[in-house]
This record gives sequence, structure tokens and C-alpha cells, in this order.
Amino acid sequence: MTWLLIVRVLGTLSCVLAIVASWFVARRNFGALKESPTISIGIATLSAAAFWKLSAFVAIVALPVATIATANYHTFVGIHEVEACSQCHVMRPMANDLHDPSSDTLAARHYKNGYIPTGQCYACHADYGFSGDMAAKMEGFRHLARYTTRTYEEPIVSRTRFDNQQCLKCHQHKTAFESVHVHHDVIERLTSSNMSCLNCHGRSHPTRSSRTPGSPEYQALVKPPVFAEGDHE
Amino acid sequence: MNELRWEAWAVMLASVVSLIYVWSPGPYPMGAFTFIAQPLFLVAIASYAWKVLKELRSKRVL
Amino acid sequence: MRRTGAAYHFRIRPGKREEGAHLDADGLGYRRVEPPAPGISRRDLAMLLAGVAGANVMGAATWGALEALLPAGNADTWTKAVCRFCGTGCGIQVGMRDGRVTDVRGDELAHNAGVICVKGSMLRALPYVEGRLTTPMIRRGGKGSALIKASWDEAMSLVAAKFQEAIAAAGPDSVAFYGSGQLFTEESYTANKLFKAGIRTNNVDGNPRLCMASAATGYTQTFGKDEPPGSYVDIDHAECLFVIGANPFHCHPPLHERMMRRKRLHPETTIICVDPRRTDTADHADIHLSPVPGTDLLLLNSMAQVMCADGLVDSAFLTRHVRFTDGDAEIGFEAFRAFLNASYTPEQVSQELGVTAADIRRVAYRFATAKATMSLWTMGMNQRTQGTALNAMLSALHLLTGQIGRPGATPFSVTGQPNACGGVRDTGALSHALPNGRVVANPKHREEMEAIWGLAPGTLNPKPGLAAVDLFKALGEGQVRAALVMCTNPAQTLPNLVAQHANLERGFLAVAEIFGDSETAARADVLLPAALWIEKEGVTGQGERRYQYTPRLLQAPGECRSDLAMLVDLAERLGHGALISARTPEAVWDEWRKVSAHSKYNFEGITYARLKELRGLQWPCPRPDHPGTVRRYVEGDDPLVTPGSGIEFYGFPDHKAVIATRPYVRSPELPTTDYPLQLTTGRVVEQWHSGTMTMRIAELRDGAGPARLEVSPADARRYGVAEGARVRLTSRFGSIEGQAHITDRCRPGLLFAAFYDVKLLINRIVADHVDPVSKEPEYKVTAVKLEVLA
Repeated sequence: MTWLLIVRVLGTLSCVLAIVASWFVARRNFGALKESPTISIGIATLSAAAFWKLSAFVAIVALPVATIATANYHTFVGIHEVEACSQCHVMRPMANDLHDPSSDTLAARHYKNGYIPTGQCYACHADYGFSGDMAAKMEGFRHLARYTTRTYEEPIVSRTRFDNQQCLKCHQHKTAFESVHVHHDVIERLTSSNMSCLNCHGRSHPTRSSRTPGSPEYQALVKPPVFAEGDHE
Repeated sequence: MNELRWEAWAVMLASVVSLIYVWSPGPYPMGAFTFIAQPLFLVAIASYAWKVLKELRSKRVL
Repeated sequence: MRRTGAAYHFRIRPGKREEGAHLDADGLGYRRVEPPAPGISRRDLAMLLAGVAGANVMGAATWGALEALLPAGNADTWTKAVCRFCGTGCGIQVGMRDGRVTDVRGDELAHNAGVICVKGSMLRALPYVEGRLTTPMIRRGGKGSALIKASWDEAMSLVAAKFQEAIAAAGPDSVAFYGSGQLFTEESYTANKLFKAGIRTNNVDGNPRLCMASAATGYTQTFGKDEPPGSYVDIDHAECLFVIGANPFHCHPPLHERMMRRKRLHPETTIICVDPRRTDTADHADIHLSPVPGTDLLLLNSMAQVMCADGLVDSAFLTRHVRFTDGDAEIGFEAFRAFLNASYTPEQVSQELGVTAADIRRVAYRFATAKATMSLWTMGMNQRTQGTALNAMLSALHLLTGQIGRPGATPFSVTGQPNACGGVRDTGALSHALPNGRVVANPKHREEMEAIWGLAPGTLNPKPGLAAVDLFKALGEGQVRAALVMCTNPAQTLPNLVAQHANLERGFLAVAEIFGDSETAARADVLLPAALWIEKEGVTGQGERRYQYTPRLLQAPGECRSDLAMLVDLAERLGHGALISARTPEAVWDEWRKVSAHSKYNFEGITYARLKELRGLQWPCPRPDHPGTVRRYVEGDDPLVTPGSGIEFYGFPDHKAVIATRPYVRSPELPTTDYPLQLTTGRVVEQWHSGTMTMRIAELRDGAGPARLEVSPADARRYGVAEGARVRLTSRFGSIEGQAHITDRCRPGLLFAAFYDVKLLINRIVADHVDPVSKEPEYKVTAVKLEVLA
């Protein structure tokens, strides 16, 4: 019984009920309703007006709110999973490279060493989920708008700075990090994301040129990724 | 208020989109849900709330 | 509720009756309500569509707001360029906003795959450091007086006048040019041409003499041509990485990172580090050998002895591709082997070398039998009285074992400066050299250059000029009366500074610099304000034969000019305007690449257009459609190899590489009773060379801290040195006081200091013995004594 299943069941319920209830609400003439006669449902007795007004509330407000809440599970929690990110073909190069044991990008190395067994994209791009800052979520919606309206160019390029806290939240204060002298030379620039960790640690994902349609690597990079059993939560 | 006809149809439409999204959360269903279904729900709720408000005012409850 | 016919009827509870209620057959009352008309009315449809439209508008408005409110990154534009610092020559991207440099990051498409180091990361601060020299200055009152602002015309006419005066009185060899591996290629080429072909003196030298000369002579004696045969990409294929006399963790960080990646992806890769100090590089190596400073030719000869004795040599390769010599005449392999057996078995050398026989055998075996062995070295091997021999012997180990000409198998001399290769070695801007591997002493080479440059026969001076150390000595003794120094700081970087400072007080010194307070600028008679890095455009050639282009992205401050502009101006004033006909960087480059077509350093196919578009190109590259050469001497890769040869060392007429016997000669700076310790010098990751740039950037200055004298715990105990104590180090050449730092990175008997700090001018005590062939000074070994100051 996973959260996903619960969400799907609840979501289906609220959508179907909303459709059915709205169907009847659509046909109701509220102006012609009077206080009586009354309607009995089980032990409850309501006047016609009350019943239909309550139904309207349920159909137009309560069920849609429930639908919004449950459907947004995908948007804010389901997005943790690599499969979710890989739905957009421009993200497939990142997923394929992540799983490639011969790649030396940061994503691939973290995965290969077992540091990010599940929710790999989320591990470093954690601000896309519920906790995390609003700017990143706005970015996420902007990406969605661009992608679904096809107003983007490949290769996709991030217009914002990556938040180094995504690296530092695991690496800072560990011996390996603290023992490197140059980290301390520029620690303020690192913690404020003024200087990218990638300057010394290299690419995190495949290069823009390989992600450009027409490049020799492009076809292999946008193949639908194969996910291992252990990738799911 | 006399009728909630178009609000109800809006909810039905948005619920269909949401149902698709709940079962198949790809980028296009997500886009349709986030940018069309959600605003549609909100618009229907807003119109409903406006009508309820008008009615309650006319009955001098508010 | 019941639906009867066309109406809905609401059931009324029994007993209640409403007005207007009907009664039906069973006596119950129903109220009639008219149902809504079937379907959806036009009005409702319109409202629905308006709702959908409204939702879409809201969605679009949200999207629009997101686009508008997007927090911007550091920069609006990103332009590819090249790092200003070391010989790794990283491709970078310069981020700019409103005409200012706001960020610098690695270029993911360049050879360094986006990796740079902390110095490169701080390049964003470089154009804005305080204290830039912005106007020419003249020491109007003569030596010892203050520098006064002057106009360009005044300054340049004074320089020209002094030069003409000297030439008239004592001939062309009374003037000199001392350049730099940090000038653009176009600048070094122009200076070389002006002085050698125009003024007709071979007193053209530069700071590459102090760092790469032994590498140049070592390669030339082995392959007939200078420059590494392999590329950085060989690191990605090596199974054994033999790092000797180099500390890439500090001095070439992206190369070290590349080595670490190789190891991560292929854990069977062995990294061997040979360094008297236990450096950070040694800490990351699998095997660290710590020889006594100055003795490592014993190691290389001994490894060769083991390889020959244990059948680890590639005899077929040797027969086809290698010629042996004892320096005078050709010898056979057996004679070579006999030379090694006589004095260089591991047991014979172990004591003096400071490495066990077992370790010598271990590394020899690994070097010879790995699938691909790549060696990487820098100053530890070059800055030595036997620098040429060390370089040649290491290449010889590759030739003996056939570890060459394949991916991952190559002898790779790592370059110190960003443009020592392309700018100085390849252009021949050294006192013994002419462009593209030619030498002034060879009449045929002089004829070739006279023909190429359109000079009258006999124009070029046959006498080799003065190399760095001797050049400044001549300045002190008066043979050289006027010198132009560009883009370097010899008053901090020459060895034996006490004597050299005295030399620099004599003669007329014109210095092109970016800051007015460097040690050299402080001794100048004329200071010329130079443009820095992206304030001028040009090409640099880094360590793997890759030429890369740096664009001009900023206006130089004040009256700064590029060094090329200064040289063109001087040429005009000295009457050589016709000779120096190429006046813009691109025009000079076009002339130079066409000159190269007459040699085996052919890069005629590397045009400015290609350099601007691509992430550099590796020469040989003879045609505009040629992709560049990753591995020289290998057919299919190197276009100059005769088809059908496979591997061809075309540098020599017989197309073979040379292995010479290299007898070990003791360094003159081995410890004595008077000077029982040894000093070696080097760099730290945060600082570049004499620190003129990096000591002005806060993060780098504070990160490195003041330079200190590193002492081993054993020596600290013996001499009573406490951490942070002030001590005096004395050599035969001078003495210096500084703060001690106790660290077990130094082996007992060895001290270390970096040379970036003007407050610890370590070169005051460093010996200036030079390699007889390369004339490169031995910075790495100086005998010293230590006293604690009260």
C-alpha cells in the first residue's frame, strides 16, 4: 500500500464524485428550490434547498479542493523520482548518464558509489519538492510551461544559479571537505553560491553540445531510460 | 443564484483532466493540470463564491 | 423524489400539505417543479468557455510572471576564453554583466571538461585589482630617483633613444629583450623578429629559460623536435601514471583531478609519485618514493638498468625506432646496457639515492609492464644542473619499453606557464633559437629563416645570445647596456638574487608591467603600462601543443597598451617598421602560421577563425580542414608521418629517436658540513609565480597566507626551532630571514619555501648553477644552514 496507490484511489474518487455531483448540480434550478419538501437520506433529513446547496458546495468546492490536493502529490512529491523527471525527453540524457557506470559526471559518480540510491534527481535538486525555496518551485513551473508549449530550445540551459547548499548540505563539515585548504579560502563564495563547486569538480551532467540534436551522442542520450528495481522508494 | 451550470461543467472538465493526471503524470498532463485544470477549478470556485455572497447579501445575512 | 413525465416531483411528507400541491392517486402530494431545459444553454456554454479562457489567461499570466521574475544568474553573457595562469591552459567561460566580469567558470567543452582551480575561479577579480599602472613612468632623475608620470611618446622615445645609443656605441649585442611565457604568441614572435632580424642581436630570452629550457633540450636531443608527443587525454588511458618532480595537486590542479578520475573509473591504475617532499600529490599516489634531492638521475638510470637486465625492454621497437649514443658516437644496445650495469644497479645507487633497491625494481617493473604508462613531470626535473639528462632519460625509459605512441603511453613534460610552449619555445624566442625548432648556430637554419622572412643573406647573427642568468649578469657588467623586459618579474624570480639585484641596478631597464610596485618595476628606468589578460586579444599555446584564443572583452584602464602595440611602436622608432609589417594580433598570427608551414611544427591550418570557433587546436595542423594532432609521430594522427611508417620519429634524418648514456653528475649543492641542509622551492595552489596578480586578490592572498620556511620535525628538534619561530637560512649566495613552519611533508634534511611573497624573497639564497646544455638554473637544490633567531 504505497502513497502513490492511496493518491490514485483518492484522486479517482474525488474526480469521479465531482463529475457525477457536478452533472446533477448543473441541471438544478436553484432559484426554484424551496425549503420544503424535504429529502431524506438515511437518517438525515434536509430541505431540498439545503440538500442541493450542500451538494453544490461539495461538487464545486470541496471535491475540487480534494482533487487539487491529491493530484498535486505528483507535482510536489512524485517529482522526487527519476522516472518523473525522465518523462520529459530533454531530461533523459541526465537520467541515462546517471546510470552509466563509465561516465565521470558528478551525477553518475554519486549514483555509482551508492550515495543516492533513490530519488536521485531530488537529492541535488531538492528545492523542487515541497520543502525548498519558492524560487526553485517557480522555476519548476516555468520549465513545465516551456516544455508543454514547446517554446524551448535544445540543448536546455539553466538560467539560474545552482544553489551550492545542495552540495554543502551533505559535504560541508565532513572531513573530506574540511581537509581541503582551498575550500576555506573561498568558503563565503561557496556558501553563498557566488562560486560554483563545479569549477573544480567538473561537469555534473552531459555537456550541452552532446545534448544538442544532431550531435553524435544525442540519440543514445535521449533513449528512454531503463530503471533498476532499487531505484524506486 | 439561479444556476451553477457553467461552474459545474468547468468542474467536470477540470476533473477529467485531473483524473488523467492522477493516473498518467507526464509533462503534458502535468501542464494541463497545473495551468488549465487548476485555474479552471479556481475560477469555478470563485464564481460560486461570488454567487453565494450575492445571495447571502440579498437575504441580509451578510 | 420522483420523476413523472416532464416534471420533477418532490415528495412531500405525509401529513404536510403545501399550497398548490397536487394529489395523486395514492393521496400523497407532489409539488410540481419545472425541469431545466435539456443540454446546456448558449449562455452557459459561453460562460464555460469564458471560464476556460479565463483559466488559460491565468495560467499564461502566471507563466509570464515566472519568466519576468526569474532571478538572474551571475552573468548575462558567457564568452569562451583561456585562463591567465598555469600551463594547463584551461578553457574557461567569462561571465559578464553591464560590461563587467562577474563570474568565471570552466568551459565544459574545452579539454579540461569544465574543471579549473581556485585561481581560475578568482579570475573574476583580476581586472579590478587595485594599483594598476595606468600611465607610462620615467625615472627622470636617473637611478635612485622617483618615477614620474610621462606620456607614451616621451617614454617610448626615451627607450628608443637609449637603445640606439647603446647600439651605436657597442653594437647590437649591447641591447637585450627579456620576455615571458605569459605574453601572447603574437607578442613573443614580434619581439623575437624585431631583435633578431631587425636589431640583429640574439640577446632574446625569457622566463621559460628558468622553467622549460631543460624540457626543450631533453625532447630535442631525444626526438629531434621539441614539445610533448602526447596529450592530456592520455591521462584517461594510462594504467600507470609516473609523476616525478611535479606536484599537480597544487600546481596543475585540473590535471590532478583528471588523474583522480582515471583512478576512480579504473582502480587498477597505479599512480607513482617521486618527490623528496610528501606533497598532497604524494598523499594521493599509490607509491611515493622520496629520493635525496639532486640524485634522481640515479633512479632513472637504475630503472633502465632493471629493464634491460630483466628483459623488460621492447627489442623490436628499439631496433626499428631507436639509436643509442654515448654523446659522441653511436653505440649499440649492448654497450648501453653495459654502461648501466657498471654503476646503476639498484644496489649500487640505493644508498646515495635514498630509495630502496626493492622500490626501484617495483616501479621499474610497473612502468615497463603496465598496459600504458604515462609520465608527467615539471620543475623537479627541469630546474636542475642535469635537467637535460633527466628529461632525456625519462623519455628514454618510454622508448626502452615501447611505452609511447599509444593512448595512455607517453612521456609528458607538463608546462609551467600558459604560453611558454606556443609563445616562446615554438617561436624560438630564446637566445640560442630561431622559429620552429631552428637554432642560430646552424647556418642552414639561418638561411631558411632569412629566406622566409625576406632578409638579406647574413642578416641573422650566428652567435647565440645570452641566456637569462648570463643576460642579467652582462647587464651588471655593462656588456648589455639596455634591456626591454616584458610581462615577467626577474627581480623576484631569478636565482641568486643578491647578485642579480646588483646587476639590475646597472644599465637601462625598460619594463612593461601591470603594476608599478613589483620588484622589477621598482628597478626600472621606464615603466610601460601593459594591458592584462582579456584587455587584449591573442593566442596562447599550452602544454599539450594546443593553441587557444583569448578574446578582448574589456577596455584596458587608463593609457595601458598591449605589449604588441609597444613592440610595434618601438620597431617604428628604431627604423624597423618595414620588417614589423604585421601590426594587429590577427595579422601577426597569419604571418606566423605561414612561417610554420616551412617546418615540422606546421600549424598553417590553425586560423583565427577556427580558433574563435573551436576550443583550440593541437598542432601539427597543416591544413584548414585538419582536426589537429593528438599524438605526434603516430601515423593516422600526425599528418607529418610518412604513410606506411606506423610510428616515425621524423625529427632526425634517420627517423629514429635517440637514447644517450647519461652519466650521473653530483649536484654542486649537495649538503656539506657548513651547509648541512638542502632547500627546495615551489608553488602553492592559491598563488601564481611571484604573486604580482594573486597576492592582490583577497581570497588567494589570505588563503595562502605569508610564505614560510617549511622545516621537518626532526630538523626542528635538532636546531631548536619552534613553530612560527623566526629563523635565518644561509647559503653560499645569500641569507634570508623568515618564519618557520614545522611539517612532516619535508623529509629530514630538506626545507621548502614558495616564491610568491616579496616578504620572503627566497631566491636571494637559491643557487644559480645552470644545466650546461639548457642553461636552466637549479632552483631545486641549494645547500643551506639554519639558525634560530633570538
